Amino acid sequence: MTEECWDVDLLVGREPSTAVRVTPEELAEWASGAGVRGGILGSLRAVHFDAASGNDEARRVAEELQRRIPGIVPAVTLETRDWLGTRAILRQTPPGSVVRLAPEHQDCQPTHPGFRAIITECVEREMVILCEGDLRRWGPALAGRGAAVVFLDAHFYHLGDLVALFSEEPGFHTSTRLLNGPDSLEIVRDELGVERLVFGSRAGLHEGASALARLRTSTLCPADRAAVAAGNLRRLLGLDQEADLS
Amino acid sequence: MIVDAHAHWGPWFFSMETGSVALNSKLMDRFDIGWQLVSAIEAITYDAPAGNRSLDQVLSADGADPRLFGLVTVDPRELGAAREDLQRLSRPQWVGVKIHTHYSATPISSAPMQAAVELATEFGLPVLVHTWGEDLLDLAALAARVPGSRLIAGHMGAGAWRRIPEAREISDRIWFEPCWSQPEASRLRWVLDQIGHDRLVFGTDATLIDPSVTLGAVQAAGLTPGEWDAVMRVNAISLFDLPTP
Repeated sequence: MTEECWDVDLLVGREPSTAVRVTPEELAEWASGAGVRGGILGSLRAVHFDAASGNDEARRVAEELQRRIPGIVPAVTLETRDWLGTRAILRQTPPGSVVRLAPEHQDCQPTHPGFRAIITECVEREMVILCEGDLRRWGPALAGRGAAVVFLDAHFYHLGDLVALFSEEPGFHTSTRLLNGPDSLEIVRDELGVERLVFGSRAGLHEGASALARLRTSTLCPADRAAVAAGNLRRLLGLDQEADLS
Repeated sequence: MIVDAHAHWGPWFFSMETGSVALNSKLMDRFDIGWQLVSAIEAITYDAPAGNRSLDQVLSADGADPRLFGLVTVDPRELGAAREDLQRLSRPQWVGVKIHTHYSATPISSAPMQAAVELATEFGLPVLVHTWGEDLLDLAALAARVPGSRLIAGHMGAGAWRRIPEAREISDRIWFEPCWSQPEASRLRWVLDQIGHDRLVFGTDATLIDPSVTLGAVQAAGLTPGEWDAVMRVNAISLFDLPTP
């Protein structure tokens, strides 16, 4: 099975804890080998150092990569330690854009007032929120607001919590990256619906081939696999509107 | 044909339905795994002798899957019971020992862990030890201290995999097994390039982790035919003295 993929979890830049660098060329090679035709690109520079220049980098690299990954769009990565700076960035960002949160890398806690303010602003501006970190900690802080969220680090050890959380949150989605138990994808499909699953690889940092192999060798039917691989993210990005009506 | 040197049988306390031995068989079928070495989850997480007995019933049941081999779980805090298990659970069905450091609350650098490894070595068995982080180096040091031991670093230290060359320098009695639910990019290729292919042994952590995860990492590493043969079956067959299929 080699259906088209859209990857919700792409990052460019340097991961300071491991000194691993993910270059645009490596992302292009990953996309070429994996059949990735679109996705969302965030900046490690923005996560770990400076949101403004990091987000400039994400925009520039996404533009460079569009020839090879036609559907790639940049995420606006937010600095959760800096509500005032983040507020300014959000007010310059078109409603409906994709924002990326990495609060566990930024010494932020779910109870911090600045984090709450960021989420409120994101929801009011109908942003699609990509959230790193343990969903058991960050999920409750995002719940009850009608937010559209993709949890990027949902691990299959926490599937029970995921189902409990998502059952009251129709806008919550999960990346497939760490749903690595033999029945994890199938549990989400059966408990919540296949539309909650979004393919993500974090290629270059995570072993993207493992994420891809997990999806492509799963027992999901071909239509469900195609939705997870591409359709669900395209829907979140506002593409394929007609598909929503079918 | 693949040999999976790190697998389990039995239910986990997570939200997953992976307790049936039929799932072991199904995953072996789907991923072309010829031999699978399993330890009992009950033995690892709760009670080693009781779990070993449960697994023994599975392995010796009528119609048991002949592709499954047992690893005797040893709790370093109960070596009397472990000795009894090792006397009772023997070849051809039982081919090695499993020790989990976290669930047994026994650090690799501790005296009880050394005693457990010495016990397994007395029975001529290789030991698959859970390693997580810097205790990878403690395992290499332990291998160096126990003559005749053969130790496999389960998960090959997870996030500490860049220390593998150092561990390999410490002892020639250590092997590395790569399963991990959060595999970092380019890990296997880097390890192979650093230490060669004679010390890497394929494992999945099934039925906790789907075999596709480590197989994806193997695919990403682009193994040569020689590397594939060694890592995916020959090294484990030699180490655990398994029948050649």
